Amino acid sequence: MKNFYLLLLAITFSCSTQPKELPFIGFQETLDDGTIKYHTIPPFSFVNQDSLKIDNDSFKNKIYAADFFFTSCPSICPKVMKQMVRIADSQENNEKFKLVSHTIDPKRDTHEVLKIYADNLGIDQSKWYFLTGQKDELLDMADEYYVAAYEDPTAPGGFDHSGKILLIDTKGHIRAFCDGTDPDDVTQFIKDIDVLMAEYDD
Amino acid sequence: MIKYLNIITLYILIIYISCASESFPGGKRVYTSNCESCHMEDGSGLPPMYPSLHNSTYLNSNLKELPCIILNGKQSQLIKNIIMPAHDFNDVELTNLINYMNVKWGTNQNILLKDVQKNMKNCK
Repeated sequence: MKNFYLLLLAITFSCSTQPKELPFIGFQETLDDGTIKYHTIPPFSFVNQDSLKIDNDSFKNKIYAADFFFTSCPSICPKVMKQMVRIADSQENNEKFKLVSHTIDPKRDTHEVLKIYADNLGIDQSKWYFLTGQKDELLDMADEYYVAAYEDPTAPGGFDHSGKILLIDTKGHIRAFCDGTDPDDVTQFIKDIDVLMAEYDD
Repeated sequence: MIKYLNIITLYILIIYISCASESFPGGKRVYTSNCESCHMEDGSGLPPMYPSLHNSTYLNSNLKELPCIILNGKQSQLIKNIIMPAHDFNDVELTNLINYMNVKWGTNQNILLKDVQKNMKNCK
């Protein structure tokens, strides 16, 4: 019986310790020379709220949080957006950190609409891009981030999608994610950003 | 023994009532499933696009306009894509919802069922 309590104690403590390194999320393959190739966000090119081209080079040597939304979304988007603002606030002084919100409804979310949206959020727009572009390319990009996003006429607002927020490292690998509708999960995500930042300390 | 049992039962009943005594639980249910995703669980919203309900002018001074606004929905003046949808609430649901919001974030004044019914007739 005493051992049982010790076991319980051990389990409790093992759960509460902070992992020192973040995992690599997604499919991975082992190359012939034995090195592991992790899932990587492929090349992309979209337009931001200031009508500027944003591509992989825009995130050179940066880590970033990514999500997918649309302005007319009547379901989970405002909740997730509020948590994205919280993440942005927590990294206010982190020059290595950016955020990116992709619309999945580019027909309605033109760069002009995204500009008004970003202006009204009152955020630092040099660090947070709101991206629009070709619908197919945006939905394909959601797949690359493992975010479910589909056009569905029966869903509220015409799109069905998840409120996941993902953390991408400087090499384009997904290192953490959270449910953007769950503030507690986002608290853990903000801790994960610190863990990832520690990898770049010299 | 029976006397003790009575005391215990009474005790449990008091605990139960004091725990379940949040105002307008029916209104809370309506709020959670219809309003919370934009106005947030704590009513703080994400202003100015998703208005905060804390001391909202509609709760404080324009209470009579509120039933029709909730039923008909309302388009954001900032971004026309952002629309509070129309809601198909009955008079009781609407009364409970408005009273729940008012106790939580407004001036704590109650709206009566008969006033909501009168307002609903004059909508549009």
